[in-house]
Amino acid sequence: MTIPTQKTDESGEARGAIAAERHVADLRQAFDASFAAPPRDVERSGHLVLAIQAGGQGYVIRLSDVDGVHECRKIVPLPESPPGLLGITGIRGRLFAVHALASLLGLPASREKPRWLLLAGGDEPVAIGVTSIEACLEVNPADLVPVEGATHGEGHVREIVTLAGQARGVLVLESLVALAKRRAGETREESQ
Amino acid sequence: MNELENYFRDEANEIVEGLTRDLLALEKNPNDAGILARCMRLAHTLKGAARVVRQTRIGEMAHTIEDALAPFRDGEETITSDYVSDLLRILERIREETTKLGAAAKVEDENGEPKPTSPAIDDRLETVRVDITDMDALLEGLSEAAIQIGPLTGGHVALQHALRLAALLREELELGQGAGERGRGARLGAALTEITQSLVHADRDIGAALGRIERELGEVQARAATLRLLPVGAILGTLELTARDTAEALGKNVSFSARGGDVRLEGHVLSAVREALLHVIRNAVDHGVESVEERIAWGKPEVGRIHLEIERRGRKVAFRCTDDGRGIDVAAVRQAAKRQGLASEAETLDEEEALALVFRSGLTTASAVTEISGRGVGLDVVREVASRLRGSVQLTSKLGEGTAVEIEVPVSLSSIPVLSVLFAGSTALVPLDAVRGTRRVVAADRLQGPEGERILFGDRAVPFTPLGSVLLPDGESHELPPACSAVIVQSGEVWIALGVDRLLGTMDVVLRPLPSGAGAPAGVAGAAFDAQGDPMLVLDPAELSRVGARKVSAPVMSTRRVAPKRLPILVIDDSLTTRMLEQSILESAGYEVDLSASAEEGLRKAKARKYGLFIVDVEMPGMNGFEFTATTRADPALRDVPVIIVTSLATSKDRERGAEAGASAYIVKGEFDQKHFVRKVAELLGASA
Repeated sequence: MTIPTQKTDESGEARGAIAAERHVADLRQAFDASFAAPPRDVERSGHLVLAIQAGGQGYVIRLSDVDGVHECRKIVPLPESPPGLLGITGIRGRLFAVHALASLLGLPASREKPRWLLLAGGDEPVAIGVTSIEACLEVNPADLVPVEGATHGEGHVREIVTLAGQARGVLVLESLVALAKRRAGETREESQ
Repeated sequence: MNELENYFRDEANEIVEGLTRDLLALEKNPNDAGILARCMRLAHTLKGAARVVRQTRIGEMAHTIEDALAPFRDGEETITSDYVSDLLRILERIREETTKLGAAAKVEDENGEPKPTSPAIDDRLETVRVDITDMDALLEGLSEAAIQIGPLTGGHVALQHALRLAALLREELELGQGAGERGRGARLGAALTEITQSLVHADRDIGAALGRIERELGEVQARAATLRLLPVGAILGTLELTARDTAEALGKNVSFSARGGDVRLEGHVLSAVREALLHVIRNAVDHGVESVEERIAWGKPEVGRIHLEIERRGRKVAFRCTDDGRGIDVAAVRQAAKRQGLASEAETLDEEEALALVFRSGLTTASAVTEISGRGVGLDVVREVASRLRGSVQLTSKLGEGTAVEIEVPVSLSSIPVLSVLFAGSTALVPLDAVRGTRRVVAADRLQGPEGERILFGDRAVPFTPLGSVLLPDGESHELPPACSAVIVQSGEVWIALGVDRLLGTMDVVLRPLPSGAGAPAGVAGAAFDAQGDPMLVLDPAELSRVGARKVSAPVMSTRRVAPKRLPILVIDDSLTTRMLEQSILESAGYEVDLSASAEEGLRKAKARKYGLFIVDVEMPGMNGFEFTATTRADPALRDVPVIIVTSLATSKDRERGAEAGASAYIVKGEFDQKHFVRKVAELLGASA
């Protein structure tokens, strides 16, 4: 884009004006042309993911796995809690059990209250506490590379994606929620 | 009475629809015993309900359907399609009758003859069936809206503050006016006046509006909450009427009493329980209570007594219906079961198992089938309801003395009065129906004994437990203030006094069960929301008594450990992973840990709080670990706090540098030995304490 420079002589001014007019015409043409362009192929658009930090490590979570993202307010601790169960909290008039993500992944967990809560678990959801959410990004599905054999995070990571040159595991929330419920002593079958 | 009729109309419509569906299904699957049993139950229920509101025609038609289905129950004959069509026709007549009910109810002249009316309006349009999830969404939205009032109030307060400042400014302005500044001063003064006026308007409008919104919202919330919960007392009228009605039909004399009608439950749970109780009562009057002559012969009072006791037990509610009739003849049950082929080993069943048979569909010990029961359907409904609500039903009986049927159902929502108490900075709630009293407690009142502390309450020495020992997560503890309060709680035979910081008051709350993933900690019945939408734990007195009693008798030494409070440790390292690792190790060893990402930040924190130990990395951008150590040694306030240098630099020269700077210990990252680390920490902290 050429920026018409101010020239004090008359011919310069005329030249500047012509350049400006041409620029406007270009813009107008580009605007009109955008309506004629074919629509972006929806199927080739990417997955929305959250880049998060837990236990000092970076991970990625598919936004479609998450039922809600809320700022963490007050957590009331419970007696006899298994490790990682920080307590219960209220979101929009509903109670949720809060489990620290770092603890579920077997990482050293900070005692600090998590900043964000991710809700997951379908009909009986659980709140997973995350230290920080760094970004919400779109990734190309082709960039999600499946992991050969569960090595990292005890089977909660089945794919890896590279963000800004750093490889991050893509967490499977379903298995994490199941682990949280198991730790709380709730099994699949109805007890008693 | 009108309300009962409305109830009946809705119920009848529902049953008719259900029966239609099921009969059609039966036509397609004539051998399905389950569908047949369901049809019979529905017809039986409709019959009973119709009786209560004195709709004899409908009642008789339902009775006919029930009778018509009975022969097919044992599976020897198969129901035909024509037969089902006949039943469907009867059902259609019932539907007509119920529709007439709605319109006719209000138009009768003095002779009680229905006047000709305009075409019957479908009264069902005046009520709406709402999905419980929609209802809950509405309540959630209301909660959230109510919470948002909080920040609004804060804003209003800020507004009032601005108003005060404007007034102050004005005063200042008037005071500071010199001779030459008159003009400017006047202009500023005028501007200030305008600002003040603006603020006054805003204060008035916002303040008034805020007040109105709060009131409206509060009222809406209260109404919405009551939509979800109903007092059990709402069904007692129907139950009593049923008892009287059944007794009258059979020529018996019966009185009905109930206790616990204040318990509030969700509507759908209550209506299901009502259905079950109706059957229990009819059964009690029919089979339980003897005729007047028989009762006199047995030396019993003429009037048979049926009593319903409603009790909340933690997360469940129990409905116990007792009668003082003839009890259940277990032998007769066994015989009937054998005769009807319901249990092959009936002879070898013990009493409890035999009694449980009573709930089986098809079982009846009645030698004659009366209008009311005897077809073996009634108690089957009870079992089905209990199972549907994921509850339980139990029957106990004593021959000649009476029978008791107890239905226990879990409740997901119920409203209870509670005593709120302050404990360790947060509020806990104790269900009021378990509280026997409260009292102030000072140190002298806490009597030490071999099994723990006790306090006097009236003429009892009640075991005293600080609430912390049963409620706080393991490893945490809280010291009660020297003058605290005790809440004396009774559950069954066990009494216990819970020590809390302060009593706050009583209120009604909606008790919610703990959510999925929270486990089932003993002593916690659930939670309720405070005005800010944050949860407060509701305690379970029954379990608390048990747990508390157990902990009181445990050796007192465990609580003494915390006595001399240790100073916290400050960890300084620019690597997040290292910080977290060290913090993890130290916290699991029972220390309190603060973190800093740089030496500069560490110095700031050290000035704000007294630490027992610094653990410092050497390689950091900005000030490094050696410099930090030297700086703190030079500061008289900090020089007595020992420093451990943790680093990856392992040469002897570096160790010398560390020692020169004044470090007390030097730990190399490559050789990181957790036990050694913790031991060193303990040594140094102990030395400085």
